[in-house]
Amino acid sequence: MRRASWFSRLEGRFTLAAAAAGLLPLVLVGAVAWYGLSRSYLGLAGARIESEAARLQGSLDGRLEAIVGVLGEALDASGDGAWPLRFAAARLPEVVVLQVRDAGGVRARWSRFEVDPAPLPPLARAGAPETWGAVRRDDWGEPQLTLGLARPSGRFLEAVLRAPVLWDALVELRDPELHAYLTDGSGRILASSDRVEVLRGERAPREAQHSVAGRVFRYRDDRGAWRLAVARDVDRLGGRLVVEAPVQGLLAPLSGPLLTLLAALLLAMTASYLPGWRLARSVTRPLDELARGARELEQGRLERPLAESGPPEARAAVRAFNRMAAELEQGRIELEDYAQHLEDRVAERTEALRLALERALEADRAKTRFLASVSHELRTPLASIKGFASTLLAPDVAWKPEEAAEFLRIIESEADRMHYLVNDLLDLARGERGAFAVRPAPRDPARLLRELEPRLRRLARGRPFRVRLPEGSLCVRLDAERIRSVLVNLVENAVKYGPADGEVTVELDELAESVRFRVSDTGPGVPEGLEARVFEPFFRADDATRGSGLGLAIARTIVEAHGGAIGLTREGGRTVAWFTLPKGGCEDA
Amino acid sequence: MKTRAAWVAWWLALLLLGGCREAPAEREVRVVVSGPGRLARAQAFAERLRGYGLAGVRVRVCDAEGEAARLADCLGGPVALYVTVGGVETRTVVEGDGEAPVLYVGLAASRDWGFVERLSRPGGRVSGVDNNYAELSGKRLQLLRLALPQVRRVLVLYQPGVVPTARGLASVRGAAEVLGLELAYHPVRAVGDLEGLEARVAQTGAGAVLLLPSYVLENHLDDVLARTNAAGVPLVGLDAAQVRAGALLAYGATGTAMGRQAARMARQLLEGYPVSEMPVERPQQMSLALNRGVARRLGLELDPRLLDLADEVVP
Repeated sequence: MRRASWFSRLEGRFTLAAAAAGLLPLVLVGAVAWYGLSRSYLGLAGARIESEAARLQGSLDGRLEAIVGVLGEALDASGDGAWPLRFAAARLPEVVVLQVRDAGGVRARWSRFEVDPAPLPPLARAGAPETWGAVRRDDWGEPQLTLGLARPSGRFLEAVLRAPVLWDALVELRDPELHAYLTDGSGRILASSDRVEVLRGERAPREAQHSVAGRVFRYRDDRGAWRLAVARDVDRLGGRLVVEAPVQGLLAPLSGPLLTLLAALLLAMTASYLPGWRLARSVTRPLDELARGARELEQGRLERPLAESGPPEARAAVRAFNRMAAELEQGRIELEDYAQHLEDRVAERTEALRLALERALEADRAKTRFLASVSHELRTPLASIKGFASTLLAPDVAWKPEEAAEFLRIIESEADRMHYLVNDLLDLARGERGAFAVRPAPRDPARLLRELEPRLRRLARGRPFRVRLPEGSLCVRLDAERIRSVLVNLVENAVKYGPADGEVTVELDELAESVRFRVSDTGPGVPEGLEARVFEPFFRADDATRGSGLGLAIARTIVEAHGGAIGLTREGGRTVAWFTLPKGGCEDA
Repeated sequence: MKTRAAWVAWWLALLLLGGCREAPAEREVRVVVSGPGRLARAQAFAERLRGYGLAGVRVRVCDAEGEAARLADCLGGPVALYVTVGGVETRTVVEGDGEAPVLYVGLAASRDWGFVERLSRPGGRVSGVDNNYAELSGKRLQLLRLALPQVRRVLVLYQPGVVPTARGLASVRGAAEVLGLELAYHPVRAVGDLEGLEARVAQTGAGAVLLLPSYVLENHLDDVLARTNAAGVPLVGLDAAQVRAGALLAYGATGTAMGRQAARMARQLLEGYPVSEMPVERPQQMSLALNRGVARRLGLELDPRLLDLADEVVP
């Protein structure tokens, strides 16, 4: 599983461990201190609550006893009517009703709201002295305390008092952090020290009803907060007095200084960790950089030089690493470049060798064809010469002089043919090795062609022959004899390969930088794709054609020796042999 | 750098929002008073509530100056709590269009008005301090009997048509029967009806006049006192303030005490306590007040035992 980057950065650093090792005792000490101090403090607070509850209970009991005392005086004095009750009521402003009763009914009554009944004569009945108390609620929902007092005579007095009589006792609570309330027998709150008002039915927590009287107990209130409390029984009310306080409030004086102390300790530790952390970082940062660099080198290359930081030794290590990485990178680049060029050079050489091989093979094939052609061209007239010579020298045949002369003319003709052939071969060989010599001189090619026209016309042997020349004079540096032989050769080919009545046309054009001779006929020409090969020595489009096959090769040699070009094309059903000669060079003439 | 800029922007936004935060709206507690006879309750209430120092609470007293028809002018506008000082004021507010809770300071016969379903749990938008004045009418008659045993006939001054009157009359009749007193009645529907009061006293031979709770009578007490003095008979009033004004005797909670008691309830309501669950309270303290000067002027001798019982004796 891959860990988070932040954890990876922290991992292995002793600063984290040191911080944890330093914080843990601090936390433990703080927790133990908090626990011990809070326990002690709450113990003291519990004692405080117990003391206050005891004091309040004493005060409340004293008030109730005082009320009972007033009631006793009123009871003892009420034998002659209600006036004593009224005076008692004047001393007890919370009294609602005071009435003296006995077995015969109400003997005297005073009410704060109602008209008192007429006084009745008292009746005596023996009985034990007794007091009692109870709490009930009137139609308004207001709690009212009923106190009773009986005399041995059988008369007794009941007093109904309103809630404020209880408030006076509770508001004597001196400790402002504490809160006190009184409950009746059913657990409903009668009065509260912090709410000087009529309470109508609010219930005290169960713990307040069922805890051991006088013992400190702890409970959670409606909002889930812990409270520390002491409950004491109030016998005259049949209820309980509860004094309590929120634990959080009790601990507030303690928590503030303790938290301040812990915060100060934490701050001090943090402040002391900072220089150590910086020192550790100064060491670990270069190591991290080196580790990163090593990983990058392992993966191929270093993305960026390592940052120098930390102590001098670490800086030196990082510098050495950077140098090593730079050298490795340079070597890698050179190696890649060399490998790339080596491939190119091998490819070039391979291609050159392939071409050389092809050329060598082609040259070999050409040589073979050349030798075969030369042998054939030389053997044919030699065979004719040898045949006619043998015929003339035959001893058994007496040839007539005219016959012998005819034979000798044939022999001479064949010898001439061999002579021309050998001369052509010599010209071709000079052309091949670049030693073909032309002697150009400024000439007007049109004039040259006009002079040559009769000979060419004869070569046409009666075929339609046409010459087209440009107007005006031209000047081209050319070897007139060689150019004439080229034109003759081209016209002979046109006559040789064209139809018997096909027209032969010779034209001269002036181009921008050259002049162009064109010899065209209506013949079939050479098959497509072989136009360039007709200028190779001994090339024949088919074996049926006549000639040595050297004419066009020699023509190309002559034209190229003049700096021109030669070619064969098809134009609109006509075969056109053409060659160009560059213009210029006549200025010196 | 971006982080720092983000923090700065955040704090600036907080400062801006804090600066632009709307101040808490002021809540108005409007005290509706029908006339000067009940103004003391309103003033005591306002003084105690202001003393609590509740933030954003403003107390405004609207006095109709004795003209009930002008009470409606005290309604309307944004009001957080209406405080009324009697039945007619409470009825005017309850019959208005507002929804604000209503707290009355000294209302007689709370259940008879129909403002509350139960005293311990009103259930509506009205609660307050019931002064028990109607029920105390009989008690006042008894105290008059104790103070002036020679009085045999009492003229009851009442306002027909107000809710507590029936209960007050019933209380007075019951007390008179127990006490052996004769009663005569003088209804006062308007101030003008007071004009025949002296003649009515003379006609009935009444030895004293007993006042029943009524906003007309309370707000024109001076007129009543002038006429009873002219007739040479003492007036039994409702509270100590009326004794200080010239009545011979009064028994009941003082307006000041009820105003302070109601201020505590008002604070609870403003802090969110639901008015429907706030019990109607009785006065926490009631006092017996006597005016010895009036007795002397009228040539009356008060029973000294009653003087010992009195909470306040005006010399």
